[in-house]
Amino acid sequence: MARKILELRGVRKAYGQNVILDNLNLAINENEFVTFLGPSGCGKTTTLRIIAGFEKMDKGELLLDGQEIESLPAHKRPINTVFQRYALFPHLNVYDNIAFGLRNNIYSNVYDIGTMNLMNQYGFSEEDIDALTKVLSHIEKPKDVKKYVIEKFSSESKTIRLENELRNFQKEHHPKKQSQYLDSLKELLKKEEVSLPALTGEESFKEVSKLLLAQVSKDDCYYQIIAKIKDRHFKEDTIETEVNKALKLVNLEGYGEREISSLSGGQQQRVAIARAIVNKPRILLLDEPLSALDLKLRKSMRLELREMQRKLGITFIFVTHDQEEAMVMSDTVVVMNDGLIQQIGRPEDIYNAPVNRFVASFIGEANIERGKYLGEQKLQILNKTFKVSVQDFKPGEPIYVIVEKGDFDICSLDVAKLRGKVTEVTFDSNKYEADVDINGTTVHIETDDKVSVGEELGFLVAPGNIYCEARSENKAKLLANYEDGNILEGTYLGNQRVNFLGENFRTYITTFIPGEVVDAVIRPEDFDLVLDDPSKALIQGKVVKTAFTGVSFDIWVDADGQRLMVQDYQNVEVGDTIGLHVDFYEIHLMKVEDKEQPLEIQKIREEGRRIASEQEKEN
Amino acid sequence: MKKFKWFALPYLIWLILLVVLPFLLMFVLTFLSMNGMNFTDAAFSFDAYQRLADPTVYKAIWNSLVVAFFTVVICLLLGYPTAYFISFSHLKHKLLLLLLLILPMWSNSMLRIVSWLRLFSNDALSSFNLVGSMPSVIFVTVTTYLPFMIFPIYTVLEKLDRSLLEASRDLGVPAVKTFFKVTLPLSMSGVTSGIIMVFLPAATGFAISQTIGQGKIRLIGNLIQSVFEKNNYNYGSLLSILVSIVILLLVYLFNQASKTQKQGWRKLKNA
Repeated sequence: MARKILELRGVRKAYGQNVILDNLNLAINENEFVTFLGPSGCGKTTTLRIIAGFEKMDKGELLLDGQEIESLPAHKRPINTVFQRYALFPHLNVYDNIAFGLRNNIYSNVYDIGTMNLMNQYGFSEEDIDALTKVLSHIEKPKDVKKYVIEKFSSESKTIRLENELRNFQKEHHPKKQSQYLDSLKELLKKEEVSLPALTGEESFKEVSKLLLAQVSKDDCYYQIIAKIKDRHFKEDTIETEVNKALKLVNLEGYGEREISSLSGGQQQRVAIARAIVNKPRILLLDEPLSALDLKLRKSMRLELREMQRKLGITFIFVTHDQEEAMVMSDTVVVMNDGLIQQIGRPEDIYNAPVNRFVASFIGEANIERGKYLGEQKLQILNKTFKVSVQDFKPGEPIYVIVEKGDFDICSLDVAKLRGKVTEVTFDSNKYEADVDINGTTVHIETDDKVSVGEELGFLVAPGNIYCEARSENKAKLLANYEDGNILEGTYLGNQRVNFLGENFRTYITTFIPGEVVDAVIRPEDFDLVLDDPSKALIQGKVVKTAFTGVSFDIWVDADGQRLMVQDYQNVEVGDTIGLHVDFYEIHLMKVEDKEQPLEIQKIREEGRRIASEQEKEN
Repeated sequence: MKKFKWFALPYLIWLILLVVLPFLLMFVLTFLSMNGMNFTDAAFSFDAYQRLADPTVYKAIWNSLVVAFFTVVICLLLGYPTAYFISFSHLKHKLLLLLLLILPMWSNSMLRIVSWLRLFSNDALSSFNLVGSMPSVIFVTVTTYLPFMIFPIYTVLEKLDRSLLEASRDLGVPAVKTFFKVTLPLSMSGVTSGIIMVFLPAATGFAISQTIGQGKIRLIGNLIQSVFEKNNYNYGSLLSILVSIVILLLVYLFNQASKTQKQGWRKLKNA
């Protein structure tokens, strides 16, 4: 659903022989909290610095709203950074630190912001404000923004029109005595719908004009706005309002006059955030900003940052090596290692369904067991056979494909994979819901953009948003599992390709070949202890070591020579024999490289890849 | 820290023996009249103070301040960019470059001054005689004291957190403005110590003005030296104290100015 704001395509960066990033592809959505997670040296900070504009990439594209920004220097990008050590200016106080960007940026949007504030104050409609904001965002220099706003409002201001009329009137009539010109003046005023104030008959024309203008300007909000914008203090006043707003947002009201050196680490951190967001960036980059804080402060700042992101509604890109931080705060986690993206997904997906050993062990404790997939959802590990929940489709097998209504991304017709005609539209709480006829199938979609009946729309569906289920599943159950899912009939093609609505799509679905060597991940907390009769459980083991972590117990169990880590709320004695139970859906399978596989599996895999690449060429 | 207080003792003794006592002695000497340091014929007298009426004293002080002022300004204009470019360059051998700058200081300073004298007089390479002019005195003073300006500035720039400059760029401030808004204000402490380190010796030295100035440019240092040469320790002491007071006053004012500059701006803005 979300709109893409930033896109990295094929980014490569190397220092000499040392390749930091290798063919990095990444899209980041609007209003999302994205975390780059990985060990030091994985390339996450380099990626951030490329986005900020502090580093040049060797190859690749960087797109903001679809526009290339790689050529823009750092100071021209609508992106601000919170630095690891905050980098606050020690020679300025808190207020001046926060005001620094608004004051000194040659593309400062201080007049844009000030105008918006005034328009809000005078009760302009949101559409008017949005429309003007859009125009102003294309004007680079603050000076020109000011000029444009004044010109635009002047053309709408009754006072200024009257002023000009009166000037012309004076030129034409050279008015001296009221009795001579009052009639023609009245005529002029009638046309402008202005009533003449009470006169004694003694005032000069100048005085009459003054009275008239004062009278008109009282109700003329355009004129009042112009006067405020023209004011010498307008810039500083706007800065003051914005800085105070930012201070309030980071809970530092009244700290403006403080020196930076007198602040604690947590307060400096807040100032650094305020200094960045006061410029109203599209994207805020945060480079391990919590690493310098103590544990307690770090924990409370996590939540605060998360809240701030929601309140501001801008995209946050957060870099950290702390998996807990990433899990707590993010909408999307990008796990990186060795300059490559290992996995992108929601925190819970990455935790529950890691794609490889690195991700599994980097994100929390994990028992990783080498085993063999036997087929028909049977897995052999620890010399035993387990039932697992995997999608086990054979190439050509008919399946259900589920796409949630918000996951049809509308795009222009020429790049669209699917095209359809809108047959019905309903508007509900800022969202349009529509029925679209695609190749004879009616699909239910949802969008922020206005759509109308009869319109032809183009769609794309991202691989991560295509879910597959076996035909044997009950449709009612699928409806319950997916939020407003479109259940479509499709075919599994093999090698992460599915066919539905008459087109071939890529998915992230993983299937396994019977006999394939796999890694199974079981999280320690997913084991259930069977204490009353251990022999009934599938796994029996001897407790080797236990430790209390403050909340639960870490228990190490020796099962058939394999060491398992278990987490539970109840403790057991070292030396006890216990049973372990694990639900089938808690066992997650991961792919293992070719060279670990038996020969015949390698052959099947190669064949699959060959077919896939041929298919790709055909398309 | 209290434990180590007594570590300062040797310095304290040094200070009392070689600074405080001589200074007190000089102060006493100003009220006496005698020949050299012969205290046997010393008599109480205001002779020294009466001689202060001589306008040549003030002319000499003025000359000293002019030489020192121009030396400081030229050193600053040459020294800051030098320090800046060395510090911000990506050269591998920054230290080597700095070494080249101080290399001349390893030779005897008198030797260097005399070499300049040879170069400036028309019997050598130049067809003009530059000896005895104010600019030539200032020029040689600059060459002598330039490293004193470069080093403190370089040290401060080297310590300057580069992420501050990135932060400024990130906030949309272009390079030139960043220099004036961030780099320059944060290197002012180096500039201040550089200015003081150049100003002091330039204002009180006498070797350069004597050699290059050839007696035509008389600085206060020359005056004091000639008075001491004539064995008039009383007047000499008075002049020395006078110069100390003038310079202390100037340094104090300068420090006050650079300290209040920041607060002053803030007050102006808030007014």
